Amino acid sequence: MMKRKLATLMILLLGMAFSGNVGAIEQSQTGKVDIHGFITQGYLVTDENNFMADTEGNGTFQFNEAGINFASDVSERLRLGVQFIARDLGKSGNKDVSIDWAVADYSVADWLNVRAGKCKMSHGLYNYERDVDMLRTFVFLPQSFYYEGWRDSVNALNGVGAYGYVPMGVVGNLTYHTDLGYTSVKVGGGEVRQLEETMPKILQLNVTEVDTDTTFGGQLAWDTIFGIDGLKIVGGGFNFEMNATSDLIDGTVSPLFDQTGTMVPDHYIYNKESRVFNLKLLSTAGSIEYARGNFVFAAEYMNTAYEMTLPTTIAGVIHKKFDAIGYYGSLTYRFTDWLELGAYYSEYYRDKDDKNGKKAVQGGDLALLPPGQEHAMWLKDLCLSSRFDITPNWIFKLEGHMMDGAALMYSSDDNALPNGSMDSEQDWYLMAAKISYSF
Amino acid sequence: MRKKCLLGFVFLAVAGMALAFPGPTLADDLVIIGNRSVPVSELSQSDIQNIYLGKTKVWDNGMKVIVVALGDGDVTDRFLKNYVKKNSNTFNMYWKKQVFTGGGKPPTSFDKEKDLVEYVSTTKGAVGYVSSQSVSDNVKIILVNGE
Repeated sequence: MMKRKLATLMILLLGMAFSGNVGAIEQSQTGKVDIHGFITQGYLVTDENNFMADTEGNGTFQFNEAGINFASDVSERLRLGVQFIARDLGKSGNKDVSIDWAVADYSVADWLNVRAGKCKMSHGLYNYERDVDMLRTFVFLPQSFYYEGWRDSVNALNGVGAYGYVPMGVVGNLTYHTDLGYTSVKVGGGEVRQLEETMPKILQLNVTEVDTDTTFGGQLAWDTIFGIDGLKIVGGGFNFEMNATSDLIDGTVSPLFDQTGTMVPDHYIYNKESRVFNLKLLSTAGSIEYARGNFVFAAEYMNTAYEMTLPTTIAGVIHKKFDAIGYYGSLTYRFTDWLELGAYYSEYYRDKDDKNGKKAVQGGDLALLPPGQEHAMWLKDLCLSSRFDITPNWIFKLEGHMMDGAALMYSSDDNALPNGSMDSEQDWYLMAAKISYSF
Repeated sequence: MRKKCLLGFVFLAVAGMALAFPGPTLADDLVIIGNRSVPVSELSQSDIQNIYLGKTKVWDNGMKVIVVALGDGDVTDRFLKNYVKKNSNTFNMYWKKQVFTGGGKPPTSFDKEKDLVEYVSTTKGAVGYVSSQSVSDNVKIILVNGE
């Protein structure tokens, strides 16, 4: 069924490329529509824990993407483009076709370009290209900064933005980006599942509806700093807010009846109430990249301040305020036209004031994690990766991760005890392989 | 004696002129060429870098910049290294990123210098590079500041 969905997407999109609509654009001022696309298929396997999918043991092939884009310069200063994407990673994506980006980009001057539509969000060094596998060395960008669970919402926003480039002589060049709009958050998506993980399992929290508020952000990049080619420093952040209507238990029970209407003794149903879970998030980041010849060094640091409010009957108003932090350093080197190697070390802490997870297991029934699962408050990842450019269009990657910790994973990915509480191993390995074709 | 003085004067004058005016080529035999409609006669290295990275989209008179490049090879390698401060791999990767993120269209590429010169000569706003022996009278040679 999924394969059929993907095949339909490709046929539909290729058909559109040669349809009358595109032909109309081809007759426009500059007369050409550019079409590019990509398809990837990956394989993930872990020795312990399920990472984003059913990876433990035999691994999973539920790790793929397909995208196609159409773009045209419709006038001297106006460019239109759209990219469709379908992806699958465990419970995320499910090959549903969505718009990755769709923009009208008008150039007023080098220092001022405005755009509208679904625009890629500026965030760190590599957020723009995170959907496109062949643009990087690694299969997985460091999860401490580029968490797969938040990919759909951090990837792009629907709204407007401005960007530009200002040369400053010997000092270097400045590039800025601003973003204003709203992001897409789906019930059942990675963001919502992570939100559900932040509350005690005893509440049986289940988000049923999401309403996102305005997201705004920006980024400033300074490159060729004092004449040093390849050196870039970037700083920026974004602000996000959403209200998630959620079902959770209210502390009362009702008797359980069987199919004949007879009450089942000693069995009860937990009654649920509907409440609005408010999340405010402010993410700030700083990055540095130095590229010289075939060598690239990058390091990034991100602080994400969360503020959550959830009114409940059984525990009163739960108000949480904490900062998650993530950082990494990476090195890549291209040895030949066909071989590139890379490595990074990345650390992530769900709460910078509870790095060892001690607080997370306190509080009895209302504890975030059961005792022994303190390591679910951090994730330390040492990654070694290889990229083989078989041809300019075909790329194969193979990489290994040595993991310590279980943050950034979902208990709902079968990492749970029967009562739903997190159940994970601290030390584990992840192997990822991926092949991609682009044109 | 007078002859020596005259030769010395001529040498100094030529050397002075060479220093005072921008040269038409890169360090080797590369030449930056443009369509006759291109409203500049000289560019700096950073101007060329910004054009080839798509940061400069229009000329000062509002005409669209049409960027043209040669395919992989020695001429392109030297051009990218000296002016764009990238190698062919990082340059191609940069443009793939633009293509897949809605950032723009990569330079129009030609395998043969003759074809590139022909395209530049007939395309308004076009700018490209070739080795000096391929230049024709139908294109404008753009001088490079500081060389």
